[in-house]
Order: sequence, then structure tokens, then C-alpha cells
Amino acid sequence: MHKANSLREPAEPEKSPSQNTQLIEAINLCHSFGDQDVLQDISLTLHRGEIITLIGPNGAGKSTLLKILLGLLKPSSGEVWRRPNLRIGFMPQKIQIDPTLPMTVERFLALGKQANLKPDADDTTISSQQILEDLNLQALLNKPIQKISGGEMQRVLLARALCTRPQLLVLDEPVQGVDIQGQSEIYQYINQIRNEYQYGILMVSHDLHIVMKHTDQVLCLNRHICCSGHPQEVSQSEDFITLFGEHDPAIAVYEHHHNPHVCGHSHGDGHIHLHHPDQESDSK
Amino acid sequence: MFEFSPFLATALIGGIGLALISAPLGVFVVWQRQSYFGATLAHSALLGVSLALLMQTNLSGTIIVVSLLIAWGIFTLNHTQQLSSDTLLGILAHSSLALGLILISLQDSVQIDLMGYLFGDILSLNQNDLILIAVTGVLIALFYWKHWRDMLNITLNSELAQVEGTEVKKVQLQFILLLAFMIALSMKMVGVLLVTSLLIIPAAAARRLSHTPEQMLGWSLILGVLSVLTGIAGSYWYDLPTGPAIVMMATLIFGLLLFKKQ
Repeated sequence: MHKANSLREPAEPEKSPSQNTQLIEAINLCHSFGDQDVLQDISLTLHRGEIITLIGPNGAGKSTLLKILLGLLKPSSGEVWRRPNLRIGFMPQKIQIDPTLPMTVERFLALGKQANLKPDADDTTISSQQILEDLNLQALLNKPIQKISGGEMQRVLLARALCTRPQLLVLDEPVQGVDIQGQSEIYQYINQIRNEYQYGILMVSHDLHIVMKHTDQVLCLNRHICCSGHPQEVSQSEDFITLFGEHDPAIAVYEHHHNPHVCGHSHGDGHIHLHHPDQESDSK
Repeated sequence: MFEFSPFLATALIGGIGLALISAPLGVFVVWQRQSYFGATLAHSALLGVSLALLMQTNLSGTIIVVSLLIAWGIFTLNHTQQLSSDTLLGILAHSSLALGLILISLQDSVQIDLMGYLFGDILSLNQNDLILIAVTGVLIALFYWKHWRDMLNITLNSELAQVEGTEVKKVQLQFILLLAFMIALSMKMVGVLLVTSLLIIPAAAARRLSHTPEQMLGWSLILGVLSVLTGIAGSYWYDLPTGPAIVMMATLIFGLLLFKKQ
């Protein structure tokens, strides 16, 4: 049995089945910059195979909370428990690379691979080759990283996060700068790898309508957690409506169902290769 | 036409050594857009000089300590004050230079070659400096042997690097320490005002020739040594001030490479 080597033991010594799959837990986090409170009393728990989406307006403290969970920032009070030796794959929100640095996409991805990883028995993992194929990155490998488009960059960053063989994926605005079809594809791909490899996924988004479908739990953040739960409940809760307004039915969410039997368009560059397109149609 | 005096030998060996320790630090200064940070450390070196004269302490050692204090000041002020780091660097660079000049002017008992500190005097390099340059060179080689990959990852995105397990703060601190060493030593050759050019110009010129970070390191080593050698030669034959001659040769190489198609 694993014991926490650093921050804290799990709350109860008797492990319930759910605690075996628990990846990260935040307990009563508070944070302030100077005299400004940014986060108040945030608690959350993420298990394997679970997707939690953090939404909230600008300035709600989403990035601060993410930094605390990633261990980049110490909270003013409260604790973070991480599963011992938790491997986190992180996809930062934006990355700026000076054009004077000569670096190809391939080198960028190679720099992320951790050399000292021991394969563990309980992990089903995805090979780097598979990641490149799924995210359709082979054609980009020899390009300078500064010359690829915003959407391509998001796929490269996702690939780098996946190459570290994570147990927990933390994605900060994963579809920023991606066109609407690409967004739907990225979300479907994230859902698919969650189903296949049981990664726990924590992501931040400000576009709530499109992320909702596969998310197990939505946390609506505005310094404190103003509502949380299954997407359906959250979108009908009063706090949510006050914060974001009602779901505008005029914003239709386009979902890309690539089924070669029905749809004959070319499956060329820029597409993500979903393993089993048929599985995706259950949600219609 | 060419007489090989011991002074010249020391100058040549020292110059080559300084080019070899500047280039590896310079590529990261360029990649991380830290040239103004380097310039600030260099300007503060004059404050180090005047304090060393005032307190009768070791020159290079005092410069290194002052540079580190300034670097520490930049980091803490950056996190607590509402100033852009650009403005903050400008304030620290010039106030430390001004304070250095004032402190030097107060010491009228000592004959001080102010021009030598501002623009360099390669003939002031001595045996001790050569040893310090060699030691710094070894430290830099060890640092990159252990942390080259870490430094590249920090350059790409420091938060991502930290999540992936790089000890960002520790590595950055070591880098700044080496930068302070390099500035304290090169100041004698090219002077406070021109030190940053040794970091920036060979690296910028090397960009045109390189397709990987390692190639850029290699080319900046070669171009840095070439600038120093041609600069010293120009200074020897045409009686030019050595520091400015080295900087102009580096700039000439940079300019010529701009014509190269990438």
C-alpha cells in the first residue's frame, strides 16, 4: 500500500475503494495576494478516469488554483494531497518561444520525455508513436516550433503532456486558438484517452457550453466554488445563471462525428485521429 | 611587425578564454530575452569596483557579490512591486552605475583609470585573471553537462519545466551566479558598458548558421573567439581601443551573416 511521502496522509486511514483511485485532493485552500483574497475555501477531489472542468469568469482564480494544485504556488492556507509519485502531464495555457531559439517540433517533444521513468505494472500507457499518429503531428515534426499555427501548437502541447505518461492530465484552456471543429475533436480525443487509459483530467475553460458533455463534474469558480456538480445540474443552478447568464440556445455546439461511411470528406491534415469513431455517436 | 610580448600573450589567452565563457551564457541570455538583465548586472559592476576601492577588498570578488545582490534585488522587487521588469531594470542599472561613479569620484586620494573600467583595458588582465577565467570555464562546462536540458526546458516554459520535475529556481540561481562571474571577469577586457555585447552579439550572429540549440552554442563559441582575436589584432596594428575594437568586429560578423540566406 502506498503511503504519502510528503504532504499529508489521506483523510482516513482505512482506504475505501474510492481512495485507491484518488489522484489529488485539495482541502480548504485559501489564497491571497497582498490583502486581496483570490481563493476562499476551495476543496476538490479528483479520481482516476474522472474529468473535472473548472469554469469561471476572468479573474476568478482559475489559474491560481491550477498553480497551487500543480505545486507551483504555495497556498496561504489549506493543503494539497497528491498520490505518492503522481505523474502530472501539464499543458500550459500559452507558450512563447523566442525565434532566436532554433528548435523543431520533434526536439520540443523529445525534451519533454522523462528519461528516468520506470514502467509500472498498473499503468496502461500510450506510446509516443501512437500519440504522434493520433494527434496527426508527423508532418509537423521538422518544422520550427515558432512557425506552427495556434491550433497546431495546442496539439503539440497536448502531445508533450501525454508523452510524460501521466496519471493526471492538467490542461489550461486546451482549445485556445483552435477553430470550432478542432475544439470538438480535441475534447473528443481527451474523452477517448480518458476512457482508454483511465487518466484523471483536470481542465480549465471559459467556454462552458462546449466542454460540458464529457465532464463528470463542473466546478464553477468565482473566488469560491459557487456551484459544482454534474454539468446538467450546474447549468441550471441559480448561481451559475447569475454568473454566466442563461444558456443561449443560439450558440449551437457543433460536434464532429467522423464516420467514413456517412461522411466522405477527406481525413487530411489538422484532424485528430479518434480510435473508434463509432463510440462517439452514443451521445447524440 | 609582430612582437610577442608577455602582455600580448596574456591578453590573447585571456581574450580567447573570455570569449569561450561568454558564448555559452550568451545563447541563453538571447533565447530568454534577458539582454537587459545582463546589461543591468554589468552596469552594477562599476558599483562593485568603487566599493572594492573604498573598502580595499578584492576587485573581482566584490563585483560578483554586488552583481548577486542586484540580481536578488531584481527578483524580489519584480514580485512585490507593480513595475514592469523593463522599468525596474532601467532604474537599477542606471542608479547603480551613477552610485558607482559618485563613489569613485569621492576617492580623490587614489588615481583611478575610470575610462579603463567603463571601456576596458585588456592589458590590465593578469595571471590571476587567467586562472579565474579557467575556473569559471570549468564551472560553466560542468553546469551545462548537468543542466543543458534543464536550461532548454526552462527557456521554453519555466512552469512546464517545474511541473515536469526540473528544479527551476536552483538551476536559474546557478546560471545567474555564473553570469556574475563572467561579467566581473570580462569587465576588465571590454569595460562595464560593453560587457553585454560579448554575450549578445556572437550568439545573435550564430543564429543564422544554426538549426539546433547545440549548433548555435558551437557557432557562438567560434564567432566569439574570432571577434576577440580580430579585435585584438586591430587594436594592436591600428592602435584602436581594444574593447570597442572587439565589439565592432563582432558586429561586423553579425552584419555579414545577415546577408546569408537562411
